[in-house]
Amino acid sequence: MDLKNIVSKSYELRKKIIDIIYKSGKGHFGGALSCIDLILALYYGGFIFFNKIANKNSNFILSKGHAAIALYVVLNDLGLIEDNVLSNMNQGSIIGEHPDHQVPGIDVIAGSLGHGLGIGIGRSVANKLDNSSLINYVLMGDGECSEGSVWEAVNFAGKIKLNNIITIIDNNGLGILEQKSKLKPETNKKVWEGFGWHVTDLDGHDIFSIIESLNFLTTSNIDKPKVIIANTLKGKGISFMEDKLEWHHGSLSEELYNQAIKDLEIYAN
Amino acid sequence: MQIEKDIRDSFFSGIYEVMKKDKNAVILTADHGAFYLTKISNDFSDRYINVGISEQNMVNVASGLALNGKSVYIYSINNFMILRALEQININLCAMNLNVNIVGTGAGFTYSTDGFTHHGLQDMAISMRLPNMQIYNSTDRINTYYMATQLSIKPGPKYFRIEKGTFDDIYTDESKLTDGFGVFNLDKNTQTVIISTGYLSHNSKKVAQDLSSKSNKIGFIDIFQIKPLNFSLINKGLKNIKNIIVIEENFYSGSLGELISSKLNKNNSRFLHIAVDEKIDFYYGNRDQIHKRNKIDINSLKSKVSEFLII
Repeated sequence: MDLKNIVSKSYELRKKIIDIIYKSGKGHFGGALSCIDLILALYYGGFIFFNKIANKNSNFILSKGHAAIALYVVLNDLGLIEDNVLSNMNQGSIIGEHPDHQVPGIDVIAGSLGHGLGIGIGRSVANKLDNSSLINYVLMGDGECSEGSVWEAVNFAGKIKLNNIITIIDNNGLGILEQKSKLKPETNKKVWEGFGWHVTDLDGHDIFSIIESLNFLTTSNIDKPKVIIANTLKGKGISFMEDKLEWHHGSLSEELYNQAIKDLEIYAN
Repeated sequence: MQIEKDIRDSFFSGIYEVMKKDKNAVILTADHGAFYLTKISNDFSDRYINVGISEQNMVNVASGLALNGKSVYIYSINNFMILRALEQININLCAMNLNVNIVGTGAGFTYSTDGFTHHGLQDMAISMRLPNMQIYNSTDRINTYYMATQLSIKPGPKYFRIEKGTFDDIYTDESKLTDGFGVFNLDKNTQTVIISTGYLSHNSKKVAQDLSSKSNKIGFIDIFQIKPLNFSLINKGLKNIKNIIVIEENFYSGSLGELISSKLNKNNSRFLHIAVDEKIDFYYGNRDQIHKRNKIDINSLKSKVSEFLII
């Protein structure tokens, strides 16, 4: 897909996220809107491969499970999740606030944080054993990086110089209760480099730059695991949600819903 | 095939055979060693990974390998897997029903001088609550080798509690291991049955033999398949039994004895459960000393059973 179309998806699917959560009553706005551009770049940039028989992706893990809606709308756009399934999210449906492996196109449960990177590393080790050149991509949150299991995984991959894993951190700087310091160790380039990782930082809403970096890292000969620290804005695209703690999870009144849609129209232009 | 004498070696020699046949078998260790594991690491170096002391990560890495079609073995000390990495096991292995074999040492008071951190008194009860998890508790080298060669190759998450050291054989090469339990000295004249598992099966078998008499014949059942418990078949053997005693090296709550007790028809039989009191005890010694302190050594077991049977 060409860049112009992906960028227009960025608006279209944001609108869908708002619509679905509005209809379902509540949901994780903030983190979904901060990482949707990263997911779009992965899926429409041609980095994610599907096992057509199993109807599963073979190389992407959404570790920050609370952003599931951002993945659902992409999988819906790709025809894997049906419209009626998506629109019934949280209302007696096979999809809810967090993803699981029974959802078409998804193969790993998420919701409890800090698991995805280790699982992705396991898949990358398997790819090495199978002589597969497939790269695994794992999307984590910056808040998630407080989990100890993340650092066990970071240490292990660095130690074995696992060069076929790329993890992306949605560095929106907001947790649930407080703004995190921009200088926090979890997203400090030197910390990751110390563990033997190759670090790239970029604007997590600049789809061109994300795809360019993914292309470079996916095809590079750098003999290290790779991390992209994607600087993002929680709630990106909706003025009253941007960088606001209270929009990690919530519900919209009709008035706010209309305001959100208006904001997105401005965002689209 | 000559089965290794040491129980742990019998397990890993079985895994060696599995890895020789199945190129998709991969083994991870959290820096926990065993004599025969060294042979595996030498001969299958590409499929042996020491992930370091990081049990949570080991379970996650194993999940990723299993998602990509590998049959995975992960090895550490029971508590460090089941208690420390419980959530990873619950979500990634059990809820996704992945083909990962948890192999652990440290059942009961195996690490008798290592203290509460190493005592496996809770892991069985906790793992029994995990959906899809199959649990096997080793008794001797015969059923342990069977676990490695026949049971670990089945699909789904499994937990193998492996003993250390050398034990008398309870089973024979010809024993029917597919039932998941072994029955000894049980016939139409048997009035009392002692049920046990793991290390204490050896002591319990001796207690049964020593206290058995013409007037009260005592049989013995070793259960090594803890979950799913083959209770309907076990219960057939208990049909006319007057006294049922469960002995185990676990805390009382939530473990095998409670499960069996909940399934028994109490109208037909009396029931005694002998296990370990739920207390934190900073006391170090050999396994027998710890057993004496917890009143599960052979003499204490004999007097408890005798008192129960009033003989």
